[in-house]
Amino acid sequence: MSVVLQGSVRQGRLILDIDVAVGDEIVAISGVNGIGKTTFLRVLAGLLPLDNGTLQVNGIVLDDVDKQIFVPAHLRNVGMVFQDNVLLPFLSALDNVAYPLMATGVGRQQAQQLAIDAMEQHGTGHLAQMKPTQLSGGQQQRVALVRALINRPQLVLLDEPLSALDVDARREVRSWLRDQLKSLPGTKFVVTHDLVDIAELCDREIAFMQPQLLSNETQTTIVR
Amino acid sequence: MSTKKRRVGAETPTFVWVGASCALLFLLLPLVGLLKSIAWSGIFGAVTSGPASEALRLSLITSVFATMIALVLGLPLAWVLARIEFRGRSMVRALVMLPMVLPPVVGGVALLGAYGKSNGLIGGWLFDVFGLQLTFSPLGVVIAEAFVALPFLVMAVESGLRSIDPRFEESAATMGLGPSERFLKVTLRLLAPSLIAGVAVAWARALGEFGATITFAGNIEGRTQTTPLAVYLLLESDPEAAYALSFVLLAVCVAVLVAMRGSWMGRRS
Repeated sequence: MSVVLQGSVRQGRLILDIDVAVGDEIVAISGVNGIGKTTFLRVLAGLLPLDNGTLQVNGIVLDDVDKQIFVPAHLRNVGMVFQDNVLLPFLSALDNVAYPLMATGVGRQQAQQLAIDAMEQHGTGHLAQMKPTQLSGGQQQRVALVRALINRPQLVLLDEPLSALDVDARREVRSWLRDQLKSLPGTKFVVTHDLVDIAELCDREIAFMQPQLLSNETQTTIVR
Repeated sequence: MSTKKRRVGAETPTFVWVGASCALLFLLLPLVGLLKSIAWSGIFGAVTSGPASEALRLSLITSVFATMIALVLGLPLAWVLARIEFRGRSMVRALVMLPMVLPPVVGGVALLGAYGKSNGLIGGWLFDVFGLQLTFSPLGVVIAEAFVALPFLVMAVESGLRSIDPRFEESAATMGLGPSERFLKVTLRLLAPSLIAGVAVAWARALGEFGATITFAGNIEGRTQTTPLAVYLLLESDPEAAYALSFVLLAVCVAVLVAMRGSWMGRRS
């Protein structure tokens, strides 16, 4: 199993109780708003430490509360798309895509060449020199996707990656994304409400559910 | 919603127009008075000779150093106030803002109580161990200016830090940037407008500092007599130079406002 996560984390009134083990596959995460899907991705990304339990990715312990092990986000080699695409506003789309490469030590020129190749292959080459504020929501989302995958991350975390696209663009980007994700090793998590996304993009689905609603505490349990 | 559209039921009453016009006039009239009193032909000579030029030179040097102190100390303090939750944070913030509302003279007296050579808390120690005397020295001017300027920088930078969406830094982390890289390449970059505004307003405040300076550092020509002190004294002996110096300070402040435009003041819209 590539990702083994057993543990819980509390965020405000939400307690996320997780016990999942998944292989090298594309996993859809579904469930109502506020149930903790984004929190789940943040735990995997290393932006939120577990309160108890352990997380292993590809056999490496990334989080173990008892043993006081926590590998922070920048050392985890994840590719993440946030819900509202947070492209760095002071960089062009191209520089945004090249950024993860440069962070891992690729030279500027080579990183930019790889970035422009990836954008052209993805059909966003014409956006390369634009600033994020000049892009529409859908265009930003496309660029954010290219950026998240450029490093060939060992763990892909996509939080509603197609939500800002209209129907036609959605179909087009979905098929591009499926090819990209299939070509990557490791586990890919895709948070989505869209049944077509789940059916066409993903190998399996994990539905988040709340077994009981207490008066002042929400509890979420995920069953594998 | 467009602000140009007139909303029925929320029309501006006449007396508001009258009040607003009076307020504007009240602010503008002294400025017109100042500009009218300046002897424009001799202005260059007036500020480049004698005590006026000495005061300008001293003001420039001390205010730049004071601003640097405010920046080096204020940035970490603003970070702690904006990003770290701890008990008594609002108390600490109130304390930091105190020099903004404190009468500057009181600030000067307080500085004497801390750094005065004979009866200050650590003034005697500073003198015995390092041979440092802050009172009646240019260094004292710097300390007095930094004391009043620091809160302005902290305030601007803190609000700037709060307005940064933390997800920019989080996404930078998922892209492989460590904590110090994120700070230098993402946080500071996003903070730049607030940082520039904070530095500008702190510098303007340091440049105009009067009360704390004269109380703590005195009024020694060429040593601690900054431009505002010189203006006050020259008004008696050489009003032409006093007006000329006033104009220089006014011009600097206008330049600061222009530099801040859009970053701190106009963000509300």
